Amino acid sequence: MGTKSSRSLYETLQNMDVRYVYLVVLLVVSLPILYPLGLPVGTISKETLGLYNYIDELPPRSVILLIADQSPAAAAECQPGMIANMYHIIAKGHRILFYASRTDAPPFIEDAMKQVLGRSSDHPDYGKLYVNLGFIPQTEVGLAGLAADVFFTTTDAYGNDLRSMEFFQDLPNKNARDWKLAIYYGASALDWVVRQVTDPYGCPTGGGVAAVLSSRVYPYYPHSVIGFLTGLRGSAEYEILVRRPGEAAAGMDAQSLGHLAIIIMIVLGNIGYYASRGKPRGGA
Amino acid sequence: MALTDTMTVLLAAAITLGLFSYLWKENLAFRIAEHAYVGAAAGYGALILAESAWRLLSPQLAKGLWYWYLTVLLGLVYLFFFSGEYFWLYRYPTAIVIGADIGTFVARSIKTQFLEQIRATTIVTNVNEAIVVIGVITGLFYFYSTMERKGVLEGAAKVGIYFLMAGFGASFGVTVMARVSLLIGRLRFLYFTDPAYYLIPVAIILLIIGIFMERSKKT
Repeated sequence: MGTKSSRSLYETLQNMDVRYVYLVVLLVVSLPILYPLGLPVGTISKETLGLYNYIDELPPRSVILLIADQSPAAAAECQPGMIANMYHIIAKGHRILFYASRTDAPPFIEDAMKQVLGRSSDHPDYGKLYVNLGFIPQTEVGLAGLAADVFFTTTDAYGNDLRSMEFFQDLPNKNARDWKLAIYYGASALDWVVRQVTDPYGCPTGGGVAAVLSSRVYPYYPHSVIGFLTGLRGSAEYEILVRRPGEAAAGMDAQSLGHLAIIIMIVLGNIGYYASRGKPRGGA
Repeated sequence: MALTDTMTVLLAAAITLGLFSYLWKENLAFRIAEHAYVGAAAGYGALILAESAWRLLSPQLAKGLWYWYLTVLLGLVYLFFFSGEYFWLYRYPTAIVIGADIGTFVARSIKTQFLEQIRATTIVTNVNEAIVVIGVITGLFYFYSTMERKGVLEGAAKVGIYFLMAGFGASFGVTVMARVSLLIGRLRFLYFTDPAYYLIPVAIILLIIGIFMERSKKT
């Protein structure tokens, strides 16, 4: 009798309407967003520290290429990391060359500039420390052109002539050899940045990638990719490192509880599967 | 907040909730949101592409470099995609773009994704790197079908499949992490952006009405 009732419980779990799972995930993720628990983020990963330490040790006024490749979907994971990264780069007095490699990325550059610098093209240091090249078509071909000649686009995103900008005056090569780091933010494996910037010109790559892509970055780490942020967690770690907890750090409670709920459901689902394995399926 | 900002936030919240409504079942709100999103993304993308193409082209034309007009001509040839008779012309710009992409990719990928990867894999300085070497070699044996898998080959392939499963498991784990992150991003927008949160009770009421209507239809 006991076995029969426990079997039926497992079967109930197996055949449960999937919408209850969605509801549980929604509730578990919503509660810590509305009522933060302050769970610790844990140890900072060596991938995040790799990027942080590299930027920290660069000499002032180093040129860093910041590639925005985040779509609105990936922005939830990548944008907080890009903002935290910018705070660090600016605090160290480095120069940033922005470039968007997809059509929906330029607003994220503009938003990040406004949030970190207060202004974008009308900032007093625009053209001296910061230049926004805007969107360059043909992803990898566009980057190859830019890496070969920094004046490839001739103007910035706002139509200003690049050659007249103070930003580029002391750069000896006017190509990727002048860059100290190329940081990619988005939802691709950043292999194309390694291909077009790191291997031919010796400029290392860093990044903040959507978590789903992180396993594809590891083959290049740490030889070509000196460090990278993995999704929202990597962004939260960087926010903590630069002592500016923001959106990513605020989302970590929800992420932790969301994962816990999913793990419990996977375990329950597997128990249900093994318990009902010997039993014949179907009606009649 | 300006009226346009308010309307933008309300529209974004309505589209977000409309897309989430698919989790209940496919419905009119989801279809409207889906089509609006796809249409807006395509329109916005086309506009940015045209603007950037002109931004890159105009300085060259201003210098009197006439041959840059050829790129405009080549771009316009894409429109023959809509012609039955002259469709073949559309293949020329397509071939040039794909050729440039492949040329840029292949020339560098041999070093980056083949030679460099082999070199990096063969350098073993600690236990983790030794595990990587074992994983790569045994994983390759799993796909080796030239000889019958017997003895050492069979054992290596078996070890390889465990490495592959561990890799797929890690990919699944980070995929879940990514999806939860996206949900967090959207929920934070809905809960904390004024006036987006006003649409949440509206959506809940509509959902309850929908569920009752569905149940009454069944009975």
